[in-house]
Amino acid sequence: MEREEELLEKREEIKQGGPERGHKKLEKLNKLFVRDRLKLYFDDEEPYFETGLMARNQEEELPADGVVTGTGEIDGRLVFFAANDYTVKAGSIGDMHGEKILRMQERASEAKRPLLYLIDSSGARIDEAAGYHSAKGSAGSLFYNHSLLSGRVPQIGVLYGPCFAGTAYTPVFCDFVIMVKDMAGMAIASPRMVKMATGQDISIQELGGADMHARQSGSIDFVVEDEEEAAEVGKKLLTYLPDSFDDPVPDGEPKEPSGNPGKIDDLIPKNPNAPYEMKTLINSVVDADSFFEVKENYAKELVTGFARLDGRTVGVVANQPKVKGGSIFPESADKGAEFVWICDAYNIPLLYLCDTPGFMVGKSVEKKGILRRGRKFIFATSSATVPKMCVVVRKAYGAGIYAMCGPAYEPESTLALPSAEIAVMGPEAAINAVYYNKIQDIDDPEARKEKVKELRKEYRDSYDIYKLADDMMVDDVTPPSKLRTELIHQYRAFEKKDFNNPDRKHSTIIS
Amino acid sequence: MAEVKSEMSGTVFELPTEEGDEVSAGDAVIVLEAMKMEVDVEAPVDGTVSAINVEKDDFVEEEEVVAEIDEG
Repeated sequence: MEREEELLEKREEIKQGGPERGHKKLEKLNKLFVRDRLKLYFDDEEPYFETGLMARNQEEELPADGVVTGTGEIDGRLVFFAANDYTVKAGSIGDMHGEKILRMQERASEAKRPLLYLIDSSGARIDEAAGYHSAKGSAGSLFYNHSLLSGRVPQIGVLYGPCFAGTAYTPVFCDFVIMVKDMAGMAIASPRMVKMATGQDISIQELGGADMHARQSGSIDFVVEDEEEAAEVGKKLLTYLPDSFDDPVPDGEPKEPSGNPGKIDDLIPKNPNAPYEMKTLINSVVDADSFFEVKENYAKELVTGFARLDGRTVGVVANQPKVKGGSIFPESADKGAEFVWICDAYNIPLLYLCDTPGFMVGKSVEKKGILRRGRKFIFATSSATVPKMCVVVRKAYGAGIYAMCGPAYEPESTLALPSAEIAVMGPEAAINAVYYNKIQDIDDPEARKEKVKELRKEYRDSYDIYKLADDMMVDDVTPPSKLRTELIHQYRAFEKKDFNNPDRKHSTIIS
Repeated sequence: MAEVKSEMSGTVFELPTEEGDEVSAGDAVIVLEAMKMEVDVEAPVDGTVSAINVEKDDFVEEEEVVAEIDEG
């Protein structure tokens, strides 16, 4: 027993983390010690098993080389994890530290289970990394592994501190990133480095704070107030994701919606140009409390998130008429493309709620590559093979309906609400485009006005939804109050959907 | 003083507020017509409208300061 006791004592000592000054620093920063942080995630508060605990046990002040790795149980599911220990040299990535994370990536891939990264690291441990960062099998392989894991198993990154350069890439390679407000930062170079390189004076929060990334760069998905909320959001996210691309998507407990499906028709204004809140419609269709918005603060003219329909998990992509009229901008095209692509990777069926005047036009969006970026959204929707449902809530103008999975994009069904308008463009623009000369030829202003009115009406009648349904352009005109039930039935019918795109190595468009 | 900026380009459709009006964050200070949709340009903060820089039918660029709000 003597040997075992000695070992147990040593293991306990390692689990205390770095030296006292490291713990003091944590206290000052108001952060949790990594093992207390992990307790917030795991069912029994402890890892299910831990690996690499003895790494660098022969050296002073390098317990476990500053990273805790292993598996933990979250709501009864096993998840692999790697969590930096800030008390050990500020969580910097030393030789074995990097090796431990690489092993976790390889093990999670083999085991086909999600991988959780709790990131709190100052970056490469410079005195150990000279030249080594680029070698095969070194910490430089982290992003190679990240890339190959992408879409195989869910990868979730949670940021607890300022991360620059290498450590800032780990979160962005994840499927989802959570950042703790004021505590976390993420940038390709630190403010000090930026100052040296360019002379620019900037604070961490301005350079790469949670708010900046959530609202402007779109590089993260969730901003949380504190460590407790970070764990809650991370755990909730997992309830919508499968263990791997090859495993079933978890369902939830079916619930009636929090909004009233009978009020959907009243929610959509009679004036086709007036805005309204799309999220009210979403909450009138999906199970109560199930809508979990992703990238809530970025490109708000497109709403993306997970939800459940009678317990079944779906990914919702919805135009938001309340913001920028629901037009699709380059940023929202990226947001839509990426969300659709993640859902398809993990076999999560898609629900498109279409009410868009189309892709935004003009100088500013052309400079930002609206065509190039818009195509990514259309590409992702085209290539997704999961069950897809398109609901034309109101406007479906121009190429907007392509990105939003209209009839030509192989949805299982296109359901129109009676408020639907499907057209190349709105009547004002269409009449102007087609009859410009004819209208200009009329000298009398009153007569001209009358003619325009008449032509607009004619045009409007041409895309009357009952006429389009007559031509089977849509599969049905659905009573708004029955939309939820209809969707539940359709998704159930298509749950065994068997459809593959034609063979090729891969596309040339990266979503 | 807070700037009220247009999030997208468009034409001024309606001026629901005038100088001196009290507004709350989120209120529409200007309504644009863009992509044939009515798009609110919202007050970023609570305060008093101290300047309106546009008139009906003016063309507005993305990020243009269309009004100003005095937070005092």
